[in-house]
Order: sequence, then C-alpha cells, then structure tokens
Amino acid sequence: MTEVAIREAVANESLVARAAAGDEAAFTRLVAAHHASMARVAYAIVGEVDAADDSVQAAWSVAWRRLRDLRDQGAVGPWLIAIAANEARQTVRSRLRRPVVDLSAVSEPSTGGDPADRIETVDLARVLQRLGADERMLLALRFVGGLESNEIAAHLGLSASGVRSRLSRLLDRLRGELDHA
Amino acid sequence: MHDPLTFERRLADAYSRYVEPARVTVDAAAVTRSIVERAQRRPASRGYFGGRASALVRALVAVGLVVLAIAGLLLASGAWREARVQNGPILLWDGASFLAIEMDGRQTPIPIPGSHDRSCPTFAPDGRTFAFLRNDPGGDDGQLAVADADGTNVRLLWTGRFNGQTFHQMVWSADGSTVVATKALDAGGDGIVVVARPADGTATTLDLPGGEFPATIAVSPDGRRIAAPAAASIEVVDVATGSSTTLVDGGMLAIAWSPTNETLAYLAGGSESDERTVRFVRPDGTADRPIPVALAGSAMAPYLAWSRDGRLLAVLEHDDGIEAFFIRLIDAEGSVVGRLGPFRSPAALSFTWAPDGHSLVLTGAGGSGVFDQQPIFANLDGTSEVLEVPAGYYAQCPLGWAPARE
Repeated sequence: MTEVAIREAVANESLVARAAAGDEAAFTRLVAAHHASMARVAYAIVGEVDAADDSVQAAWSVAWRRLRDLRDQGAVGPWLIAIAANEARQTVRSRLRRPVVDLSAVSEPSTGGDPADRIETVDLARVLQRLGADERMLLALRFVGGLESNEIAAHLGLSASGVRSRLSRLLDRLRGELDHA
Repeated sequence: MHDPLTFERRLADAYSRYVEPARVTVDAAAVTRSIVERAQRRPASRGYFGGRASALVRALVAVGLVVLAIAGLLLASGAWREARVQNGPILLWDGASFLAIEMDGRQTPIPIPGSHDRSCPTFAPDGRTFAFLRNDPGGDDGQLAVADADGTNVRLLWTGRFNGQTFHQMVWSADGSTVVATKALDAGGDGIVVVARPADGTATTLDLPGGEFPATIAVSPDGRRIAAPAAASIEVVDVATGSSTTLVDGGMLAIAWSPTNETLAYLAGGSESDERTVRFVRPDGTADRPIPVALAGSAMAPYLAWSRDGRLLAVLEHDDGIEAFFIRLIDAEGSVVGRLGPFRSPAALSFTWAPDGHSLVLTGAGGSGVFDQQPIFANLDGTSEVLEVPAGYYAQCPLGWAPARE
C-alpha cells in the first residue's frame, strides 16, 4: 500500500468512526462518497430506478443503525454495497409472486454464433429477468460493485470458494442463455 | 470455446451500460437529515419497566393501535403472509448428524450428542422443532424423536421395530401438533405407521385397513385423521379410535390433505398403469371430481403437495420423452394455472413447498443412484437452482422447510 493509500485508508476509518458515533457531517460525507455505487448495484438487481432508490434509502437507514457494529472500518465501501444489494434482493423477492407462465411453451430458437460477440448488444435486462434474486445479487456484487469473492463471501456468510463456484456456474448458465438469445 | 476472461469483461461492460439509468447523484445532506429524523422518531429503549407507568401505558396503547392498523391494512391487502413469512433452512443428514442449509447455500451444523444412527430429519411447519428417526448402534429397535431446531432438547417419542434402509415418510400435520412416520420393514411387505404428538410426548402405532403398507399418506390439518390407501379404496382413519371410513373407491398413487381442510387431492391410478388422474374430494367423501389436466409420461413421480395457504396444489410429473420433471400448479378451485420446468433428474425422492409459497423444493436423484441427491429449488417466477449438497449428506426424506427465525 502506498503512503497516499495508507493516508486515505486512515482518513476513511476516521470518517467511519465519527459517523458511527453519530456525527451527521461525517455520515453525509459517507453518503456522498458511496451512494452512487450503491445505487448502481441496487439498480442492477431490481432493474427499476425508483425501486433502486428505495433500496438505497433503506440501506442508509440500516447503515446508520449498524455502523458501530462494523468491525473492519476500512471496508466500509463493500459493506455498504452489500447492504444495498441485500435490500434490493428483498425488494425482488417481495415481488416474486407473479402470474405463473408455462415455461415449457416458451421456445427460443438458437441463432448460433459466439455469445461473447453478441453480449454487447444483447438485452441484458431480459437475461436478468430469468434469474432469481440471489443470482442477480451475486452478479451485481461482482460485476457492478466490483467486490472480490472473499468480500462477497464475508457478507453472504459463504466461503470464498463457494462464491467462486456459484459465480462459475452462473456464468456458465449466462453463456447458455446468451447462446439462445 | 469462449474465453472466460473475455466473457467476464464483456459482461462487466454490458452491466456498466445497463446500470446507466440508475440515479447516482444525490443530495447527501438531505439523505442524512431524512435518516437521522427517522431514527429520532423511533422511541428510545428503556427496558420493559424503565419508564414511568403512565408513559408505559401510553406507549403500549400507541403500539397496539399501530399494530392493529398495520395488521388491518395487511389483511385487507392480502399481504400479511408475504410480509411475515420468509424461508429458512431445510435439513440434510449424513447418518449421524444434521445440517441446516438455506436456499442460498448457507449452512449451520446441528450437533446432537450421542452415537445413534440418525436419519430423515423433517422440520415442523413452524420450524421450531424437527422430527427424526434414530437407531441404537447395532440394535434392531428404531426410535422416533423430536428436537428443538438447534438440536437441543431431544425427546424420544416412540421405540419399536423401525430399522432398515427401506422407504419411509415423515409427515407433519399443518398445525404442527402431530407427526406421522411410516416405514416399510422390508422391501415389499409389512410396514408400520407411527402417529406421535410431540407436545404431550405420546405416540401410537396404527393399523391401516387393507393390510397394505401405505406408499403415500396424508394427515388432516389438526392431526386427528389420516388418509391412506387400502386394497381397493382410500380410507380415512380416526387416530384416536382407529376406526376407518371409506373416502372413495379405487386405487391411488399419491394423496395430499389441504391445509384449509376443504379438499383432499389425490392421484388416481394403479402402480401397474400409466393412467393417472388428479382428483379433488372433500374430506367427508363428497364432491369427488376429476381435474382436467393431462399429465405427461409415466407414474414414476407420484407426488402432490399443497402450498401452506392451501391456494395451490403442485403435482409432479415426469416426461419420459425428454427425461425431465415438470410441476403442474392447480388452484384450490381445480383450475390449472401453470407449469414449471423442465427439471432434469433421473428420479424424484421428495417434494415440498417453501413457507413463503413462492418456491418448491424437489429432491432429485442423480445418475449414480438414489444417494446422489440434488435438491432443486423451483420458483414460481420460473427460475430454479440446484442446491449443492455437501459430500456425505443426504436429502432423501420428505423435506420439511422451516420458515426463517426472527
């Protein structure tokens, strides 16, 4: 870690400590610093702007109450992202009861070709619609939040290897979905 | 062959475009003010008797009014169940110990002291206790026991001849008062049915009419009656008296008692035939009628399950042509409302609903035998996920699915 990075980390921990103690100005700085990344992750899970906003707002309420319980104050960023992701996941789950469709009647002709070439144009939203809340959260934490497997594992109560194997299976499935997109 | 790194980079790029609509600018000070004001409106905790009596009374009245208002709104909107029930774990077993595992893979070992061989743990509907079978090491006698969800407070309910690696079931009544365990004592012959009431520690064995061991059984919501097949009919047995009455004539492959006590659903047919019909009948034997649904394939998946609110019946069917399972969903009026699948698995071992009514779990058996088991979570939104069973663990018995603990 460079000297600049160390200074930033120390300053960040100090900010978190002050916010955890109820310093509203410090908390405001945390909001300013982390709201955008939380909003992107929430949106990646729920797919709607208003619902994502609600999820992030709920996440900040949780953070205000729980900040003093955060053991590694240097890891406040991934912690906040994980809270926002969890709130977004709950939103998706609460909407789960929808009209049941006969999936066997849905046929999707394969167009062939390399999905890696088509992913730039594929309708990711449509692919995400097929995934469950937990799967969307896992992908969002990794590919939008930028969390590493060990960080995701720490927040989900899984092992890092478990996260990697789940991600691997999920990516295999996505490739399959894109094969038929 | 796709380059995994290229694929992941492109996926990340696609995500970065996908999340562009997200509102990423915010008035941070306004967010903080909103959060702090909301937190300040929450009453400070003083302990149960920390405040003055009049303040306590006012607070209790206020809380009561708020609770009543919220309950009224939720009941009126039909959202009560969705707001309250979250899914907790199912239980796996390895012959000695148990493992609670959540839908997302989180695991909690359930240690139980002693050296018994243990199997078939099945959560009660409220998830606070589970029933299981156990044998003394090397002994012939088997036992039915219950324990609290964390493995403590083990209570023996029944001891008798109950051993062997043969087919067994564990069914709780919807009210959680009664657990019924059945087990075949040999491959094709006699079996035993034990009816236990954990609250008062009593248990009794039941002789079912017809002399045949029931491959399927249904328990009334209050645990007082059992529906089971006889030689050429379906019988309802009163647990307290042992007396039986014929529900309907004819053979059946599976039966499920609605938690609302309004309907018994059964899969009519014989083991020698692939002809199967889903039928509804009232518990008093009236209004027996077929449900117009054509099931695919053979009779290799005779499972029915009612959702906990009694609104949906799930019927498992196997399409022999593509070697996959499907789940038909039928509402309480008998209308077919959907079909989930395919779920690829050579065999099915058990089938149950999630507490929240949004998912089912089907235990499939892998290609290497019945002990290569794969619980498959099937969600009503059309998604599904195969649970990775830790090495050495089984999910063979009917899976009681606990609600999440608050």
